[in-house]
Amino acid sequence: MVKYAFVVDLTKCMGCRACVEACKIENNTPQGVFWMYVFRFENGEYPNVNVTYLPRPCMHCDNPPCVKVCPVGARYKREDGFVLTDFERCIGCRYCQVACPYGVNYFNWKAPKENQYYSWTNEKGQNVYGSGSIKDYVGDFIPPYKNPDLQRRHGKEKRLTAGGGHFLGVIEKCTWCIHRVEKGLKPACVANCPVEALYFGDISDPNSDVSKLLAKKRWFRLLEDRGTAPSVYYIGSPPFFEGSKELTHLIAKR
Amino acid sequence: MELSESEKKLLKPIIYTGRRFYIFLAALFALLIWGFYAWYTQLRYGLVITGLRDIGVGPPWGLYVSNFIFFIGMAHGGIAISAAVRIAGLRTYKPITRIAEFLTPISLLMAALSILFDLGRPDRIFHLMIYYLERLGQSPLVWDWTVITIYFTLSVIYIFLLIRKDVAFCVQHFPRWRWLYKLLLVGYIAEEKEKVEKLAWWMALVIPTLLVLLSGGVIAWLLGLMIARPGWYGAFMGPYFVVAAVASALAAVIVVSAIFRRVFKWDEFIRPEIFRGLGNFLAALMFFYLYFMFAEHITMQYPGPQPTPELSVSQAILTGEFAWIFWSMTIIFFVVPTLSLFTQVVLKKFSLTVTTMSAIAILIGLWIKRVLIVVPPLTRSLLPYPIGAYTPTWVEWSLVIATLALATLLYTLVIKVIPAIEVKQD
Repeated sequence: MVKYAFVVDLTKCMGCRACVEACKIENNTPQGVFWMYVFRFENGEYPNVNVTYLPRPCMHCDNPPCVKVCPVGARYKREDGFVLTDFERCIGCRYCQVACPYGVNYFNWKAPKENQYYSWTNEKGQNVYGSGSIKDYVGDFIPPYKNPDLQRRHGKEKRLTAGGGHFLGVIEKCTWCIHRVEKGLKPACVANCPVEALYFGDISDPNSDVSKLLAKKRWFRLLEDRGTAPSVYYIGSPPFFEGSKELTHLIAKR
Repeated sequence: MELSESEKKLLKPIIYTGRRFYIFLAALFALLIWGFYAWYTQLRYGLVITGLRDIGVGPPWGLYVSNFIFFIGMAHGGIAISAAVRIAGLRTYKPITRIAEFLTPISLLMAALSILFDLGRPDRIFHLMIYYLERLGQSPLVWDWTVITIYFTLSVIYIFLLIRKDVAFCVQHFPRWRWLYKLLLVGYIAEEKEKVEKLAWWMALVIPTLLVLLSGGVIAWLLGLMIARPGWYGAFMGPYFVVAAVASALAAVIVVSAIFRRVFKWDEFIRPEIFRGLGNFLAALMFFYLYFMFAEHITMQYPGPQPTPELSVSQAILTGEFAWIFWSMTIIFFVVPTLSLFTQVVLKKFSLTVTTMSAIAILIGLWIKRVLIVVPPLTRSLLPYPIGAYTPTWVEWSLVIATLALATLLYTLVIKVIPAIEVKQD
């Protein structure tokens, strides 16, 4: 049976954040929400400085604390490894957000009408990207934020789980691009990484990219001592959290 | 049948309605309308108008959840005191049992309301029932509302059974509320008293178990089982919560009884011994609580100075951005009132004013403490996110005040129709 895993090669990652951008465009997430987040660490004093990056998608844990605490079963674990949120069932208690050691959950604090990269009008209703409608720019091409797959039901459970910015007052988080994976595509962040630092595949298949990579290289998983059994593997040395400087914060104050 | 002098005094809240009552009622209604406006604003714009934010920006839970825990704690007061009086036969405290009992269901309702305010989708609240069995095995939040429901049902039945003989007395004297009394007296026979006493005894036996299950159990586990949160995770939460719950409950009973004693001039019914006993017990519990606070922080501090997640939470509270709240709370609302109560014990003196003021201070302090339990661990993460910041907004404050106003209003209305002290005491 298929069991998906995500591999991040920290030795390749150069912190360009193309994955963050790809995720936002693909999933149409609200402003200030980063389902894929990249930590940047700086250690040492000039001239001996070491900068490292750590991309952080949802860990899609095999023992997910968020699934356990959900009082309505909106957060659930699929057999193929996905941990997803049913946007139609969530009551917005934010217990999953509290229970997650990785901080990957984002709540729709306000109505997600204006999403960061497709907000064509400003507060006064003026078009900030020039005149005319979106059609003038993209023609008949369906812009990603109108991707019908995001409104479709996925998996054998047939639940509304893909994409972001659905409702006010519900939790959303990284879906590993379920709507792409079910079509046989890779998640947007993986597909868009210019240095192939991100891998996605079937870990139960010994001949898959991820299995081969994990068999060959040394890897670690984030906060493994918390017993969450995350499905995201990192190749390279663990980042030096303490005493290092996180220089930029991607999370905007909303 | 004429009312005797002492009965007239006892039934003063029902017989006499002064101008001050209407002013008080109007003030409460004004607060409630303000609360409604705040809730409307929140429903309209979403929780963005609160100070709550995602991990790394602010805490996802704040005043609403703290208020929830506070009201759950206060709910124990009443019924636990009443149960203790019944089981242990503490006849001295008999006059305040009903005053205390009413606190329980009212506080539980306010706790439920606080959770409703906290939900992003209150319109989907019924999902809690639809998916109940599916989630009962795992989610502490489901355990919470299970035990709360049991506790609420049990306390309402308990009170209902015990007020009936007084209601039967009232129905003869106050025709104005006849319809309500008749409703409460469905199937009433004068001989039921003996059976009711027996039933109440058994229920009183169960109530302390529920107290431990609720405050020492599921409410504490709501936070204490979260391995992701330094400062919450651990077995300590249970005893920590149960002591705070009983202390806040006792303080609330002292405050409410003292107010009634003053307002209705019930000096002969609510004797000072009652306050002295409750005050002594409160002081003992608060010493325990202060010791617990110390034990909690030394556990988080000792592994330092190497930074651990627990240490960062402890530092946030003791020396960081929460320090001014923590230290003023500890000194003004915990240490000073506890020592005043203790001094009274040592010097064998008693002042109702000192006891009441101490109880009020401790009640406020325990409310603040709930905020300091809930919020700091949510501003610090295991991964190096920015430190979260929290400033409650006017909407949160308004809704917290509105729950308090609604509780007061419900209490006022209840004692307006049902005798707050048993008229027919044996």
